[in-house]
Amino acid sequence: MWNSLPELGFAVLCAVLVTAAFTFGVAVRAADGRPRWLRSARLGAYGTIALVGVAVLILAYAFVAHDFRIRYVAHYSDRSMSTALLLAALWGGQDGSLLWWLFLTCVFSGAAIWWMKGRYRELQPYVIATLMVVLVFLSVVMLFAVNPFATVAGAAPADGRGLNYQLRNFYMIVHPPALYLGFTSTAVPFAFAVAALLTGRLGNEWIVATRKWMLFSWLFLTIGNGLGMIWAYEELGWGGYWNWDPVENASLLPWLTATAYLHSITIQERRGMFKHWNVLLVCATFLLTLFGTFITRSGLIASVHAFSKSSIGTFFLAFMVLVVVGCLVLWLVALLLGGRTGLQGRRRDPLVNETGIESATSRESAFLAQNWLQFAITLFVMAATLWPTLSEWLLRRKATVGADFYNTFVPPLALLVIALMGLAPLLGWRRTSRELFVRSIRAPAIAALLAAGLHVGLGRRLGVPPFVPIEPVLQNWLGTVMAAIVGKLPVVTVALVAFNLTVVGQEFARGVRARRARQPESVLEALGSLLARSRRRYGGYLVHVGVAILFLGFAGRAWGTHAEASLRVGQKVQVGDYTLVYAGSREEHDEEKQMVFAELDVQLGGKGVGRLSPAKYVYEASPDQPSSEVGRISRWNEDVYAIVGLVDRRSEMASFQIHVNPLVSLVWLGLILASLGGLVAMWPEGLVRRAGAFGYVRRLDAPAGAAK
Amino acid sequence: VTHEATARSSWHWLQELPWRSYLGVGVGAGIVLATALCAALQGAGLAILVLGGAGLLTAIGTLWTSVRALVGELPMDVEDAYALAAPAGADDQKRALLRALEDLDYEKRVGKISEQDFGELGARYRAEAKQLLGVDEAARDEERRAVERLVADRLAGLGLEALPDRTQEDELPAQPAVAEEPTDEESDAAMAAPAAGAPRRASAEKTAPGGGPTRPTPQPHGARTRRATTRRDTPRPQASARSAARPAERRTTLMRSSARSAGCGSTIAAIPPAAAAASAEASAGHEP
Repeated sequence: MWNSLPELGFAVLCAVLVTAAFTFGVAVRAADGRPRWLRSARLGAYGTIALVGVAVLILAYAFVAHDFRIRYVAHYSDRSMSTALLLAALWGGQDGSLLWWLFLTCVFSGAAIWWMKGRYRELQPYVIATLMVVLVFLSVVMLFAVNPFATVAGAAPADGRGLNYQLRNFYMIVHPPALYLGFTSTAVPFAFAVAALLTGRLGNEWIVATRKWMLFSWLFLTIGNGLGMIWAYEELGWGGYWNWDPVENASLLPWLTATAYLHSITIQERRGMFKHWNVLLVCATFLLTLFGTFITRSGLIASVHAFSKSSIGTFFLAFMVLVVVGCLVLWLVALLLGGRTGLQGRRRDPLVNETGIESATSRESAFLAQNWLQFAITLFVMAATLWPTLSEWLLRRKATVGADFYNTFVPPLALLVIALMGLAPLLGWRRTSRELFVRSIRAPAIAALLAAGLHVGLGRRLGVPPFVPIEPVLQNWLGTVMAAIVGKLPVVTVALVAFNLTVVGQEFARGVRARRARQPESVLEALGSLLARSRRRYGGYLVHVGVAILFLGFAGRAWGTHAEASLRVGQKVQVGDYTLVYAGSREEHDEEKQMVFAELDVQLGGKGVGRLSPAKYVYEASPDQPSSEVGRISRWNEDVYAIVGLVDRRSEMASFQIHVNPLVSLVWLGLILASLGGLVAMWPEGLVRRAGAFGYVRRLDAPAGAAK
Repeated sequence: VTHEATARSSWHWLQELPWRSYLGVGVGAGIVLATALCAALQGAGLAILVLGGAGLLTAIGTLWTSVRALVGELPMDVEDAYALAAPAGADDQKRALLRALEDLDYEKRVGKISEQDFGELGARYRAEAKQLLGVDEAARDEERRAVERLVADRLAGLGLEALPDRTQEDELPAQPAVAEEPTDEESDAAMAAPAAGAPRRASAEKTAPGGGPTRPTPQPHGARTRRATTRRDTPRPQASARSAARPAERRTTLMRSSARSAGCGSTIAAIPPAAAAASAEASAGHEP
């Protein structure tokens, strides 16, 4: 059998297609309320998932066994790679990463089907059927477009080409799986939305079912994007962590809609509003994961870390059209048939809001505005990412937009979202009385004004000016206005961060006070109880703190300085407050590469703070593609970051790009806090609370005197 | 009989153990151990092969079971049957409502909501909670009636006897709920004298509240007749909210316990009737 490993892998993929299609058919039939069929569908799904696992293991074995007959193995591995890197190569290229994608979708499908046992009986068949459609689609793509088990033409090479050296990095090993976890898990909420539309069960049932799944997606999109930022910062040598590259944008888009969804479902749960909106956001989140895959894998958009051009674009485009049309049809059906009797004799829930917004000073208004803004950012980033292609179609010339364009238009919108993020917790449902609102906002507003005042007064002296000059990106009135606005964003950001942190602090303080008023507890005990009992609320607040700190880190970009210099040994260059002296170069070798380091001694105020060793690596396997290794000194308030361009050992001359990046550590801290908050909000609630649930309802009911 | 019953009860704890789960965990642990051993001794290649082999066997076994379930060869297990009859996501809905009430209470305490809004929103949530409980129970009652009818029909069709109510069941002597196999002579006598089956059918009709008359199904020659019992598991109409919110786990335990100790007949007796019907229909190869 080992002589036919590629054929075995291909056969397993064919079997996956057949069993997924079989399971889809059985699940659809089970929707009539047939228990035997439903059980069969569940088992069929498990079997399909196990088969996909087998396919992944076959490819993993091919990597470990250096089976270079398989083209993918020959292209992305070589005999010098360690086992860990060989396994990471599973998702290092187009074909394998799609198999990995299929595998993760299967893992989530299996988890969802296992979790659904004993609940959501009416939704289950449609959820399984929808998940199987996704599996069928991915199987078809792999069988007909990017078969990871395809063999090389002719005899197998003695050694492979090896994994791209930029991918031989710890963050690259963990970043794609984390991002894929976020992407693939969005299929589950999408399947629930489709099931809800099909069955007409459009109440809170599917919303409650999907919240944690979407939270999971959100959490892993956050972690994946964060790891991607670290990887880009350390490996790509851009001088920063985010460059609005199409691949980065593709992973940001579903994060934005998932964030909007996690807020808007609260409104549906509490007030029965935003039903259309929630369906739209779930479908959009899933669609955007497909869109991201489409633009980065089809060759439509050029990017430094996009996959090579392939024919899968057509398949993804067709599937996206199917999803869009399918969702529209289902939405129309739900709209038209709402309130009528469905197939199983059950009245379909009408897809209408149960109530409306009663006041502008209500939490639902703030959430709605925040949702719209996030959706606007999503549309803007999507259009800007696609602009090279769109301009070619519309204007007959290819135009691209750079990072400055995004940095001009996105931050003002994002800061409005940050303002609403601070404002919403201060508002009550339905309406907020003037007195209550003034009382709530007083402390945060004072904190914001104080922070802004201090920034204006002391900022320039401390090297963090409140206003910065910005060059207009557009040579018209819009460009001028936007440059004026963006130039003032540092002080606005500082004020909004102070506002948000005070809001969260105030919320915690109020919670602790309310808890201690009820029972004698120490502050720490009360704080612990708050976190334990209201994980959703306080986990959310922790995310808010993380995002606020993240934005403060982003503001640091405005105060960054950079310089380019060619230096001989002993020469120095001044960047910001730092003096960098070129100390010479050194060369090292290992089994696979030659490394040339250029040493820079870094001084601050005449004192040495460390040595930077940016380098050029020249790999024996690809000598024409040297890679740049970043040299970095991280301090609590800023990073000194150097990239070496050219090192001439004979003339002892080297060219450098040097950046001083303030507040980068806050970016990482913000990401960690946001992820922790997501984890807290996602953590399962205790069973003890379930047991006491209706005692609580009765207790609350008692003073009202309502009939039990 | 007493001696057998005593022997059975002394081994009862053994029968109670969830052997299937243990087996699953054991096999899983064995595979993990074998993989780890292979990885340590022979490298990653063999470990991957072991995992792949286990995965392939799992896939084949699961898909085969799926096909068997589809063609009706596989009797539905009790847990599946119960799960199928469980209220759809009601627990999650209840929890969400509880959370809403708790949040409201919190917002009141920290002074974020006015008295009037607190009263109005609280009343709405409580009404929803009560409605959920009420709808839940009403749906179950309706389901139970329909299922009792189905079970009675099915049992009557198979020539089985369903006891009409608890009072009658309470009067039964201590015996396995699934009655012993009748002797061939009894079966033959029953077949030879159609009138002998009449009281059983009448009994089944009596069991089905609101149900129509059941149709007697002709029995093939030599078919064996069994007695089975059904019991009302329906909460009393005046059941409190607490009894309605009884954790599902407790019922499942009861169900498992009954199923293991007394076999299929008492399974029908212990689990909610909807589940019993699903189980009965599915195991007989019929769709309800």
